[in-house]
This record gives sequence, C-alpha cells and structure tokens, in this order.
Amino acid sequence: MTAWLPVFAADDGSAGSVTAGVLASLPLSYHDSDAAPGGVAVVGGSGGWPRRVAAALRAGAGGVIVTAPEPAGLGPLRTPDVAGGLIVVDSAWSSNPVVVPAGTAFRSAATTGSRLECRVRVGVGRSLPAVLLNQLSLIRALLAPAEELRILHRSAHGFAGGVAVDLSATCTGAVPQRADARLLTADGGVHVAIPDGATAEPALLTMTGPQGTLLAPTIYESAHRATWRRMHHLLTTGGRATDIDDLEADIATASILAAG
Amino acid sequence: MLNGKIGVGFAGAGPVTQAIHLPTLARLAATFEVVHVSDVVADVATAVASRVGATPSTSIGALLDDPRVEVVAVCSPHAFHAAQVIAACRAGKKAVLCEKPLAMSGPEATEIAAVSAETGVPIIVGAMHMFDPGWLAAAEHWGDLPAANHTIRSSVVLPPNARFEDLATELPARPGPTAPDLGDVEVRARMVHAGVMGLAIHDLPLVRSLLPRFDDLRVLSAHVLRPFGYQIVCTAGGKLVELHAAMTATWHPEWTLEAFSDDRALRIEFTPSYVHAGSATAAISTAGRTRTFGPADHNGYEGEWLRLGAVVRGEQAAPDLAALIDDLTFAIAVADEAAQLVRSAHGAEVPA
Repeated sequence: MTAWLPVFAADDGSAGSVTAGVLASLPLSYHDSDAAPGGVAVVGGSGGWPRRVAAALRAGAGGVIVTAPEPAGLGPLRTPDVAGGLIVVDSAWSSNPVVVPAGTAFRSAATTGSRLECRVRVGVGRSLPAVLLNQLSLIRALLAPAEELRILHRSAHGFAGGVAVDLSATCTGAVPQRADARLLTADGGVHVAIPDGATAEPALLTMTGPQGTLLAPTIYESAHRATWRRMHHLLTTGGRATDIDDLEADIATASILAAG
Repeated sequence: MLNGKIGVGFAGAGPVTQAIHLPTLARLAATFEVVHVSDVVADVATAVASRVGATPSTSIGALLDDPRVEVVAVCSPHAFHAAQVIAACRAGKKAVLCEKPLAMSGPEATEIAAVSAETGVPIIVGAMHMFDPGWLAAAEHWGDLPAANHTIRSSVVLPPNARFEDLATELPARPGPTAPDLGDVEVRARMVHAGVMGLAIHDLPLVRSLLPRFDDLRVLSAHVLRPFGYQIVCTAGGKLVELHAAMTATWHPEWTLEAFSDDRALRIEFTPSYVHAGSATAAISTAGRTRTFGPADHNGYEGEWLRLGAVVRGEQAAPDLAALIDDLTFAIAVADEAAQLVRSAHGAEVPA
C-alpha cells in the first residue's frame, strides 16, 4: 500500500497553484494538510526561500520541495538544526522525467561527441539568473556540472555564453518555454527538447546514429509531478538527496551572470 | 534567344555545376538551354558539355566570345568569381549568375558594383535560400520582425556533401578527404574563415536582412568544430547572432534559421543542398498562434534561375546590387573577425 503523506504549502502561497494541480494527480500518495510533522512542505522559490525551507524543517516537515528556486544564499540551510533535512529541488527542466534516460544517452554520446549546446526559450521579463540556474541544473543532469562559465553577451532579451558548453537563453512570448540540449557525435547525436515544468506535454528525446533516429518513449508527466513522486519515494525508502549541494554549486557558477 | 530559350554558359564545370545547376536547368528546360561549358580541365569541360549538347572550352574568353551565351553562370573556385563576373559584364551579356560568394574582398566587390553599374548587366548571386519560396513567404508575412527581433540563430548540421551530390548526379571523381592539423592555430583560423565564406554564406544574406545595420559588428566568440564546422557568436545592429555549423558523418541533415522578438518568432527549416527536395518550411509564431508556409514544390535553386529568367525577359527587376554588395561585405567582415578571434587567445582553444 502506498504511504499517504500529508503535504502543505509552507510559504506565502506562491507555490499554491502548483501544489493543487500536482496533488490532484497524486491522490493516493499525498493528501492536503495544514501542516504536519513528517509531511512534505512545498515552498516557492522566490526571494527568501531558504529561510522558509528552514522554517518548515524546524516545524517538523519530513521533506521540503522547493519549486523553481532563484539564486539565493543557502546559509539558513546550513545551520545544525536543519542541515541534513531532506530537500528536493523542483526545476523546470532538470526535474522532467525524461532527464533520467536522457542523461544516460548524453553521457554515452559524450565519449565521441563535440560541444554540448543548451538553448532555452523563456518568457519576456523572466529573471535571467534564475533561468541560468535552471539551465545549469539541466546540464548537470544530462552530462556533468558546468563549473566554469563565460558570459559573452547579455541583455534584457537573454544571454549567450559557455566554455565547454554553448548555452544561451532567449526571451520571447511568441512560443512556449522550452529547453533544447543537443550533443552532436561523429555520426549522429542526441537531442532533448523539454517543455516548461508545469505542462504534461512530453519532452522529446531522440538519438540519431547510423541506423536511424530513435525517439525515446514519451512520458506525459510534468516536472512538478515527477518531483513529487521522487520525494515520495525518498521519504518512504529513507533515501537522501544531494539537490541542495548541487544547487549551491550551480548558484556559485551562475553568479557570473549577475556579476557580469 | 535560342528558340525562345535563354542560352547559358558555365564558367567552371565542377561538382556545383554538375550536381546543382545542370539538374536544376533540366527542370527548367522550357526556359533555358546550356550552350557552352568552360573548365580549365579539358576532359571535365568536354565530359560535362557532352551531357547537355553544349560546346566545351577551356577558357573564359572562349565562353564570352560565344554569341549564343546570353547568361554566364560563374561556378569556378571562389578566387576567380570577381574577375569572371566583371569579364562577363564587360562582354555585354544579358545577366550573370555568380555562385556565392560574389567576391572575396571589399575592393573586388566595389569593382563589381562599378562595372555592373557601368554596363547595366544584372547580377544574381546564387545564395539559393534567398530565393527559396519558404523564405520569401516568411519575409512577406513576418511583420515587424526585422526591426523587433533581438536574437538570430543559424544552425546547420550536414553530412558530407558527397551524400547529396551522389543523389543529384553522378560524379566521375572527387578529391579525397584531408585531415587538417587542428593543433595549428592558423589552420583553425583559416577553417573558420572558409566555413563562413563557404557554408555560413548560404544564410548570411538572410541574417543581414534581419539586421538594421552591421557596421558595429562584433564577433564575441569563434570556434572550429570537429571534423568541420564553426560556432560563432556575434552582435550587430543591437542584435545577438549565433552561427553554428557542423559537418559530420551523420545521415540526418538539419538546416534551420530562427529569429526571435518579444512577441514573434520565426523558424525556417531548409531542405539540404544539391537535391531537389522542395522548399523550406517557415513557421511564424505569435502567442498561441503559428502560421506555417510551405513546403512549395521547388527550392531556391530553381527560384534563383526562375528569377534570372524573369530579369532577362524584363519581367522582374534585378536584385539590388547595393544589397548584394552589403551581403558580401557583411560575410567578409564576419569571416575576417572570426578568423582573427581564433588567432587570439579567446578563440584559440580546440574544443574537446
């Protein structure tokens, strides 16, 4: 029998719409709660989110999901009373369920591949440091951490940069938000196109080789829902997550955009 | 006119003539007749001319002296383009179709402009994507995109040319592959330059038409990609331009051009070179709505010859020569600055 975990929005409501939608799609795994020791807190990733996460852990939450975190200092999560708490990051692209098979495909292709390209389209007015953080999280999940970054160009419309990876972000309201990552190999390549985290539209993972192009099975599940399932699995199996350590490293890398 | 057809003479009978233009003109046989084929290699000239019942020769002079040649198609190596275009203009031909690039330097371009103006001979540059029905439809419907766009991206992933040449014609022989020394920074610089003038040149006129100006061009990054290709990031006219190309052993061609503004996006997917696989497909998106144009039944190769025929018949105006010169100037500037950047510290590393 699936453990029925209490879940609650532990912030000002910025994660509320996400919480309601995902909760409705996982009725046997979670149930709504005001606040409950051992339950799952959902925190929106807008300014000050580390303090809200820390507060939720101190209140007894068994785990915390941070939805779309913006770059922030993680000091509040490093105090002894909350350090080690289970925190899972819900990121627009890297939390998509396609990323697990995609990571296998990209890492395999990288043995003969050329530069990884990661291009994202986001809405006009989006916080570019937050976009870059999401992008770095995706690159980490697909291949390896991007530990060095050079910004070639930035404006209100996006940015372009890279070192070992070519990355860019373009702001437009004309087409849906999406991340594209591509790694060309000597005789083909791997490509994944990942939609926004709120939609169940499937990401498309294609692998091209001499025999043709293979489309991986499509998964009609949003990144949010996949994150919640992951949290449920971790809590019920006693698993741990390195999300915050990874996020902290990516925040450090992404800081060059704010500094530049 | 020969029985109502326009007589065409080719300066250069290599793979581009054999695989691109002769099959294209065969589809337009009601309008054009190939009457003369010139190549410095006599056997090549004879063999290619015999396929179409044309006169072979080994000199541009013989070609230009042939009164049946009304239109000269310059398909020689890049270094000879300018001189042959100028010679064709001075010979009083009705029009010149010059394979891209029109020339390899600014002074050459200036001289071409002067001679064309003096002689009144119209020139068409064989940048086939400029004549692709998909591109033309996009340009007709894109609204304020040229002014409002802020990001332009050209990406080309292609198999080696042989894959498509062999489907467009039968070539008797071709040079074997070479393995450039990518450890040599000068080799890399020249490869980037050649990549721009040989591959990016297909789409740089399209990119330029989406730029208000390029006198402020700044190349921010330039890399050689293995085994052949480039990754160039630049700005011009306040817009970000990304140029990417990779020729690998893949079977899967992907040739796209994208432009984005805050509320409009353009994406064009071109068909590969050489083969007659129809036109590009263009999609123009605004929030919640996408209009798609194409594919049409013909590509830009046919488009450029159809335009040339209309120009010769006086049905359409010749392309604006100043625009052709600007296209070339832009391409040379990108190529030169990218190559120079590769020579400098920033672009010098060879990607893994």
